[in-house]
Amino acid sequence: MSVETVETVLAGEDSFTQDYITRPEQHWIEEVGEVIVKEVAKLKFSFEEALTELATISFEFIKILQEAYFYSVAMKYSSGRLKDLLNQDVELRVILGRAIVKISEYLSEKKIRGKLAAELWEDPESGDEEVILNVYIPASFEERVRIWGEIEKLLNDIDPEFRIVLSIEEQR
Amino acid sequence: MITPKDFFNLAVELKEGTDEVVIRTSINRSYYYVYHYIMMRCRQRIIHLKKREGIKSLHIALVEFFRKQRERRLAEMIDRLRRMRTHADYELERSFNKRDAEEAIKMASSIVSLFDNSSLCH
Repeated sequence: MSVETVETVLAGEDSFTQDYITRPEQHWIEEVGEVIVKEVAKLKFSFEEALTELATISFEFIKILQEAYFYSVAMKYSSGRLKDLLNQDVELRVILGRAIVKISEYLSEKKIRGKLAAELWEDPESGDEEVILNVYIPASFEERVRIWGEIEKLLNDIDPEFRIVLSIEEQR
Repeated sequence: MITPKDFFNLAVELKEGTDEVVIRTSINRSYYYVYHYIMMRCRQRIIHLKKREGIKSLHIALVEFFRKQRERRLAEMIDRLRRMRTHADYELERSFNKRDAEEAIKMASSIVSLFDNSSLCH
């Protein structure tokens, strides 16, 4: 605020007001104003920094929450030795949990009644182990093969390394 | 010389059996129909994959071959039939009935049909 502007403003006021705002005071107001503007700018910068930090914390936090959720889902649908394996393998439990959630969403969306159960299968000939995700559906063989093809596409992004084996079974 | 189809025909014939051991043999024959059908067409590529990746058996290499080709459903269906076969051959405490044999026959037939419709090994 310039001196002229203040004088113009004051000229329009009554004498009582003029008595209380002198030139030194006006100068002081201008200086303080500048300081306030600078402080506000600093505060704004600090606030933005804090927001960025918060966003990073939130992302990490959400990731941890997601992993915990997928872990609980994977454990809920698993049995026997597979639970021990999931306790040791973070990547596997996230993949299995995500796959179960995705398939459940698909079944619900298509209004298909189905049950899911994961198991660890040991090949008696080679001794190799496979994580099998069984999806039990009360449908004809042809319908199950068709559904198999649709679910297969859902798993390509979740499990590109084929860590789990999908098996669409007849629900008896 | 017999053909893979002979295995399939025997599987169909055996599924009518009343003895569980006959049902189990039907499931076994259904798997070997698929195994020989595909091996006759992709043998060199599957053997090469087995050697290159150090895979323990040709049965596992067969499934792995389709995974490598991003034919997930085919790989999983063959693996499913392979598990049915090993259950039938090794798990004596498990019981099997005609529906299991029919499921294996349908699975084998569907796998061959999907394989023929793919562009692999043709």
